Amino acid sequence: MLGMIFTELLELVEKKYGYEVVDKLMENDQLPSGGIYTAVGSYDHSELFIIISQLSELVDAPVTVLVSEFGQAFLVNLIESHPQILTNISDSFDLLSKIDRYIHLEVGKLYPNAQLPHFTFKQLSENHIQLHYRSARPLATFAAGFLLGCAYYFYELNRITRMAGVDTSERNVTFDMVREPNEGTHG
Amino acid sequence: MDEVAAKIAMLERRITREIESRKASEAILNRKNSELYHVNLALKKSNQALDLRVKERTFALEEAKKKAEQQSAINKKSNDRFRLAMLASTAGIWEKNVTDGSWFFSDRLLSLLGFNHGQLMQSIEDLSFVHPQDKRYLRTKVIKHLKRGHVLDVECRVQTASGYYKWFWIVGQAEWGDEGELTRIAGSFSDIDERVENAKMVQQMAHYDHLTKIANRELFTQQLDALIEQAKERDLILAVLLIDLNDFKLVNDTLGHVAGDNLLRYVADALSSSIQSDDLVSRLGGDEFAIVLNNIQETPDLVIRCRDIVKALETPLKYKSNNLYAKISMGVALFPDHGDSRGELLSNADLAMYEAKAKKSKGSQFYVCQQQLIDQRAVRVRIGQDIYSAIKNRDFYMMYQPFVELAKGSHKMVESLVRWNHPTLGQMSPADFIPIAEESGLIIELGELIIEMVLNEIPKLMQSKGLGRLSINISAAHFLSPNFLPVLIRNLDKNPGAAQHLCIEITEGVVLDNLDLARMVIDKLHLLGLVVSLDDFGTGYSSLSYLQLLSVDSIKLDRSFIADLDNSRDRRTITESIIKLAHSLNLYVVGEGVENSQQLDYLLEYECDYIQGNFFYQPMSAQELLAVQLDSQQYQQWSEENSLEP
Repeated sequence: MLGMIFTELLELVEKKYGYEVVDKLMENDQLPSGGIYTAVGSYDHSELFIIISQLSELVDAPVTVLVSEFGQAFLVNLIESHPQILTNISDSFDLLSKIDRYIHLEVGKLYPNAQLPHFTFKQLSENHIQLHYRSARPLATFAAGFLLGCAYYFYELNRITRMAGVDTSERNVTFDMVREPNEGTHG
Repeated sequence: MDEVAAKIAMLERRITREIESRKASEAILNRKNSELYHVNLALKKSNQALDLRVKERTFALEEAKKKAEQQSAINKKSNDRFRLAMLASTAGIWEKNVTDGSWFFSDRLLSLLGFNHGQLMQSIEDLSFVHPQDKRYLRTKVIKHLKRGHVLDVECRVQTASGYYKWFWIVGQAEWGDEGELTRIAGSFSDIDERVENAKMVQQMAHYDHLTKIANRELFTQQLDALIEQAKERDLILAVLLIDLNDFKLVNDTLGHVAGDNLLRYVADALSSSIQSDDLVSRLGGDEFAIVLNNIQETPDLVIRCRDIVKALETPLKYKSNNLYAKISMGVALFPDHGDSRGELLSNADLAMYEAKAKKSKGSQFYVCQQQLIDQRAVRVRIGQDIYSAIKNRDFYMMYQPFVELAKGSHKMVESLVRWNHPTLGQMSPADFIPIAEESGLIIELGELIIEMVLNEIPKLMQSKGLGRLSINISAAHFLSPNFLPVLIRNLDKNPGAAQHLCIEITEGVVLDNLDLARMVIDKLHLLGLVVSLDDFGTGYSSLSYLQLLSVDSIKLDRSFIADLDNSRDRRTITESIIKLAHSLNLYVVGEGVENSQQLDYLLEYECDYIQGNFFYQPMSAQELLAVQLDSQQYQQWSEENSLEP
């Protein structure tokens, strides 16, 4: 898994809970990398779950909430550090429709070894889409956070439903998104 | 303090982590760099390989391009050459693309024929512009070319836009595809009209008489040969007619050549219209024509057809104010009776024609050859051959017949006479063999032999001192031949003094043939010291004016006058007049053939100067003559001594 996911996560933890929490997580001798992560490196995704499980215990918050929050924050950080992503993109549906065809393409250029999930975009109406997530890693919850982050970024009120499917695991999930009229401003 | 120490420891851990993380990043970056370097290296190599490949490909492409350009230049050149050749060529080019049925015609071809593309396409497809007589031939040649590859090369007549047919030389060559299917055929038309027409004209000129437009001797010869072959194969009878205009020379001489030409044309037309379509008529030359009548059934048929020909010429030709009558002598020889070759038939027709000509005073005549005529001629030919041998072998000899000088009784004048003892026929009369020698042209050689023989005898005969003049008979042809004087002079040179004892006897024929030349020769003879006598006077034309013109020294009255002296008063009158006239011209006269005393009496009365004849002397040998002259001299001497009148 991309080192960037780890560095993003640790930055978020440091911002929200302080470096002491990060230090504790890194001191865990179960981590094969010894708590040394670099954005350009590549690490086994099980380390991420070890870190999040420990974090859940340390801050007393459910793993799913932490992962979802991380998804939201990841999206925002991603856009802020790579603003060119938004060129010619005006709303969340626009962005999501281009994840596979555009964003993952750009990611692939930077990290040739990255194993990226697949997003299949289906527009049902102007304000209604379905997004099918498929990944080698069980990170559907992270993806759901990512979708929320997306709506948040474009000041949209989107109702995101994780649809029941044959495989309800974290690896293969369809999200139904309905966009509500925009009322808030991003601030 | 612990808290601070813990914080410091945590920060130290953090720094350690950051340092480790930085190192890990650097390691990754280094590895990436290294990877990048190798990728670059591989890329470079691949680029170089690519460059090399590009270079090679470029080179190959450039070579190919160069080749293509060269080929294109060659193509262009050959194309240009072809285009130029086509422009320069006088031939018109055509091509048919069999695959799509399209035609190409060069501008030259269109202008040669005067058609536009559409018209020509129509005409060439169905050959409608080819002369009907040539169409089948051309079509056959095209088919043979297409089926068997025979050369397509035809001369034929083609109707141009003007409507006239012109001769063209058409050639063509087909092309076949891989499967043997005809793909195209191309060729040319060349205008050969002028050449063909010229050839026809040359042919016409070579085979037809330009004056009369009928066949000339050349064509006649060819066609007669062909007819003889055909007659042999089919057992047919042919009649070869040789026709000569009587006295045509007179027309030319009196009315001019234009009149003569008109008469010849008239005769040619009349002859042409009097024969049938499969007969031949030709002008052989001069006033000589020939006809071949094809397929004669029987003699009456031949006679009728010959009469038709004579009849066709009965109407006179009106020329200016004259009526010109074409009188002909026609000799006929039949195939196969009178010969089975051209030469034999013409020769026998000629023989017959001379028979016809003998009766020309009766008008146009024809005579059909008879076997007897042919036999006679065969005899004459054989005698001619014998004469030739006799000259070579010197089988001829001379006899001498003295004249008697009536005033004195002397025998100073002598005539030499040639004699021939034929090996099988025995003694042959000069009256028989001289005409044959004249016909065959041997008379000149014979005459030269006579001159030689006589001159060789002269020194012997001069011994008697009583020789006056010894005469030699020279035929007209010999007298006028360029060799006569040189041969005579050569012989005179061998026998000095002989000229004063010689007399040349000639006949009127000399004068008729060439008066001016005859006078020149006579003058020359006079200069040499010879005298000239005119023989056989009184026969033929016997124009008295010749006597003056020719400056001869004496005349010999023809023996026919002498023979009639004792039974014809008229003859006596004429004889007397001639003698008187001759004397008035200072000519002396010899009477020959005196056989009896009555004739002698008349001649004495008319004061004839000399007489000759068997009444006095037969012809004798030189030896005998010498004896006679010695006798005569002794008598003369004796009579003078005894004052006796001779």
